[in-house]
Amino acid sequence: MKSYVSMRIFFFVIGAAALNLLGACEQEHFEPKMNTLPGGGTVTTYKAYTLSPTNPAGDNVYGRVVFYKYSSTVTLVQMGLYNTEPDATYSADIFGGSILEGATTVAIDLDDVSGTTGAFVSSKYFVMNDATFYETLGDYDASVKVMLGTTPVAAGDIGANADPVAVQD
Amino acid sequence: MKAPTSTISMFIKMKKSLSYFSFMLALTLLTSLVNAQQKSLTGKVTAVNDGEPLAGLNVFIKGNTAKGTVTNAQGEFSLEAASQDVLVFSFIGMKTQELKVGAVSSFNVKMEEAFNELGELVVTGTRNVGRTVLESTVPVDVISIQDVMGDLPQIDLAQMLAYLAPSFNAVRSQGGDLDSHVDPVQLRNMAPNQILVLINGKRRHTSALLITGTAVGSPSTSVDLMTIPASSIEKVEILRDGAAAQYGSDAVAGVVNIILKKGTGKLTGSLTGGGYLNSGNPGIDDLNHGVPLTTDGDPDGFNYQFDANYGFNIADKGFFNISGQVTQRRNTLRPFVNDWGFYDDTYLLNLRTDKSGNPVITNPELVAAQGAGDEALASSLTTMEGIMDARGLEREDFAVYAGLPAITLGSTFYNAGFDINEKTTLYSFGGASYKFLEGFSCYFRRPSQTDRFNYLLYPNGFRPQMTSNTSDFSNTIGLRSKIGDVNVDISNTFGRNRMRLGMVNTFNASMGSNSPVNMYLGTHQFTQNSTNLDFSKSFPDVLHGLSLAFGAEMRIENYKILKGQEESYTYGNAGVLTVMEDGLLVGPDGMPLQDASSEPIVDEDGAPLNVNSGQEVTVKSLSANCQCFAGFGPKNERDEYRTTMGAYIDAELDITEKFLITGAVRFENYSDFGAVSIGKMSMRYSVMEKLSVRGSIATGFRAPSLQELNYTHTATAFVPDVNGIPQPLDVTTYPTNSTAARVLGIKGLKQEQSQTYGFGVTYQPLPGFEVTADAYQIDVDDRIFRTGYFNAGEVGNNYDEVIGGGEAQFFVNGADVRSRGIELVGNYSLSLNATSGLTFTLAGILAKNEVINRKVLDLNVENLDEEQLVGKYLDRATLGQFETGTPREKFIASVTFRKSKFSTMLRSTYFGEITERSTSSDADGNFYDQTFSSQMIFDLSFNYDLTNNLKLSIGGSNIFDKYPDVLRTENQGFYLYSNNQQGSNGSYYYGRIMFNF
Repeated sequence: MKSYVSMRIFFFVIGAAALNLLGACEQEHFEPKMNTLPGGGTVTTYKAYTLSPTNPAGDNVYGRVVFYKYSSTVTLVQMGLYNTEPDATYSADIFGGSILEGATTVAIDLDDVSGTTGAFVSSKYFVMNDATFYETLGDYDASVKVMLGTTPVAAGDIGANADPVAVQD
Repeated sequence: MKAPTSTISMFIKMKKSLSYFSFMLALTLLTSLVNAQQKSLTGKVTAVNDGEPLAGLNVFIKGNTAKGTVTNAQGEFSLEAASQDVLVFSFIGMKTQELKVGAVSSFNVKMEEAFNELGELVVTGTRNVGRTVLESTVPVDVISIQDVMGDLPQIDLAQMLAYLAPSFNAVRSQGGDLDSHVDPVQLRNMAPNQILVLINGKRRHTSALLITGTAVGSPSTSVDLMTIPASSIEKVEILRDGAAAQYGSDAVAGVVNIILKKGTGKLTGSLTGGGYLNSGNPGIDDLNHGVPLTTDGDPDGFNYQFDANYGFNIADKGFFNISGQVTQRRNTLRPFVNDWGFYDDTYLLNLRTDKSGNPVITNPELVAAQGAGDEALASSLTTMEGIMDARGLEREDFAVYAGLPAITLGSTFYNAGFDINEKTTLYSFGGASYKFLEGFSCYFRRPSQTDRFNYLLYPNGFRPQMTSNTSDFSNTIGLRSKIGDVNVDISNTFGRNRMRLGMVNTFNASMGSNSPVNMYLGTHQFTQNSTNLDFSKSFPDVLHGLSLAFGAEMRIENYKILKGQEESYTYGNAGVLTVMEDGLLVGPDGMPLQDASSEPIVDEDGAPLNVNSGQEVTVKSLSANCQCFAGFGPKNERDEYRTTMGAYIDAELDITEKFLITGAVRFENYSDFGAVSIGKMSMRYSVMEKLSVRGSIATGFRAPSLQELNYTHTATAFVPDVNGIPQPLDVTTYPTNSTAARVLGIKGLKQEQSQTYGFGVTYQPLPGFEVTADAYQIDVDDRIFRTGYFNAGEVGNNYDEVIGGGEAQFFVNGADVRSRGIELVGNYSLSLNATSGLTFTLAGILAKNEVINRKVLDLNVENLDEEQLVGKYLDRATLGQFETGTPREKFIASVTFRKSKFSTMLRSTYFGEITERSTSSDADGNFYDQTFSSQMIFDLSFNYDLTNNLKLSIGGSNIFDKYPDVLRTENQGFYLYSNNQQGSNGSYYYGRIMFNF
């Protein structure tokens, strides 16, 4: 009888140990590291405007400026120009008013443009931290000018003054 | 007698579906048929030194092992025999006794400890009633698993045998595709498919998996010994000699015969827990000039195993022994920490776009810093170190992972026999197992690899892992009987291994974010059914005894590849743009769209391309299929059958008491490639009572497996670029009956033919001291290897129309090879007093593999010279792996000390040096070959009998935490260490409690 009881205790202990060891050991999984700041990924909301050459018969610099809605507070601006002079650096700004109106007041100073790439010098995208910019872009009375020194080489209306050449909501 | 015959035939028909319970029920019904004409004997068997009853001891009638029983937990037995019969009492580790029945009806037998393993009866390599190891004409190791498994650090059969028998190897892969999903078993440094595994003398089916990376350089199938619980095994006999003439295909290097337990009335079991130290290999830093190549960590690779065995006595006429095992093994992790450039500028500077030109922001931290006007931070974030700091990532997070896989395994096996009458025994055995395995399979996919990157799914890269769910089922049912003086054995053996393959943490890059991240890749299944008829008869009056055996076998094999889910093998359209209107191929910024490397897609003048509405343009060449192992698709599906008919004649003649000769002839016919005839002769001569010489000469063969004939798959190989960084390359293995093979001129596979020569000496100079030495040579003609990679440029002849832009490889009868060696086994057992003793063993193998003839080729290749072509056909890495990739020397020395309830075992294992050859070289043509120094590791265990029912064992393997040499820098890729010595896991420690009731 004693042996029977000790056997039962033994089996209980062995069984409990086995169940505990086997049951408590989920296999380890190596999940991918997702550590990033939120906001990355593909940006698909944008409005692109044409920048026309101021001297089509001359240097004929033309292209587009694109405003991407990166987040509710951040707008990314991208410049894409053809026929810029390699090694030259161009300034680019958003001016108040349309080209037709003269647009002499700089509203937003954009990054310089590389003549080699036709894109911004410092970074592919110029970052604007303005909570309302993209949402109000359609009503914005403004234009963009690209200048070599003080000479405009390409310009175009944006916002309320022009229809985007490409748009995606 | 009509009724029993019909009942028996019904049993044979039920072979595949017979469950344990219906089998037992049927056995019970059959008791009515028992013919009991002889007298009943009873008895008890005890050990002479301590008087303890011996359970599980074999008692049988001499000349008819089929007519026997085993002792119960109290050492008792009962048996029916005639007075002229002689009873044989046989037990591992004990001297075999023979007692004439005469007038005795109750036996009290005392067994003496045998310091003489050469006295063990063997059943492998002979069709006749068992001879002892000493009397065998060929070398046979008898390993009593049931006696030693409790004292070993290893917990599965293959690893136990690898550390007990030097000629036996079971390399545990650290990963790479599916290589770690089955541990391939080898004998005499030959391939895993050149060894035949039997259970109770019946052919065991192989795994469905074709293991692509093996220790001898050629892909191979292997029996998965992990599917057989060690607790179900009484002993294993390893026949180290070609035995294809006796057993058929595959028995080229030898035969492993697993003998299942038959004991009843005793419950035995054990619970084992263990783990690896994971020290990180102290000192490895110095090898890389102060930069750590790997990381240490907490102990890992924990494993837990619970096993049990119990046997039922069936109406004193039969037994039903059943075993079960549940195992969980966690992975070990031995990362290779590298500096391969995890992020490139296109990632760090947010230069990437999708197929429409939309921005893909991969560095949102940079955008945030720019928005905040923090130029210093922004500048830092454009560097790899800066972004890793910002994200809290270390180089270890991008390391290539290798190590033992995670395994969850449940297996059960049974062995049963029932005496229908005094001459006839119905027997059956088999098992079922389920194994889940998750292994390290792939290189880490770095974010800089733009053709296999997706920010949404894996912003910092990913590490795909392969999983398999393997179900294995086997069943043998048979009848042993005697018709007149002729022993008859009729049996059917069925086995099936099914592997469902999957992948986790992966995606199909060409499908972009729509791809699933866990995928089903397909199922491989191998089925084998063997029906055997064996007859044997003794002629005691012919000289000193002649035994004749003959028989026939029919075997059916089936190999299936079933396709996986569609996303695993298709090419998606995440990189393909459908043009909506005529115009230029530009993005929102009006600039040309960019390919996967962020290079503009322009015409020869650098201008954007003109495209038309509806046109489909592959803007981004994104990698197709599941990363990193493409799923099996419709073109890979197979359902191939093969039938084999075989017949043999086998004779053993004792010319004198001292001189035995044997001979066997076998004929086999294969439905898919023709017929083979092979033969074997062997002899043993007793020079004196304790000294024998033996020799054998045999021809043999191995039929190409259905897997070798039919396997086809596209895998991604990684080849180092000029900077030594592995770059992906899609390589397809085509079957030899494919268009790709025929256009190139690759011939269909034929069988490997072998010639084996063996010569040995067995000597017992003192009681308890025994030595065997055996020399062998195995010549294999037309050994099957897999070729190197052929691409369309090399082949010419418009080969790109057949294989496209990838590369192709094939199975070929690539070379004639030779394996030579000397095997030494020495045992010395010393009884110090009644309760204590010492046992010394020293066993070793000195072997040499060489390719003796590479094939002369006649392939349709335009742009390779003859030397290059031969190099492709059997490349130097494969050739080197065969010749020098496994240790030429392996020695195992152990000493075991027993005193009363305590025992301890110290064992050292020596692995000779190995050399791995590479196909890559530096600019001067110096290949990146490497010789790895020899290794010695030590195992230690302590065992104590707590009570008569409980035993404790603790110990370790590789207790001094010895790691093999680190790979040279150029070869550091998926692995940091070679697999082929002691492996890369370092020291392992375990504790075990064993019980018996």
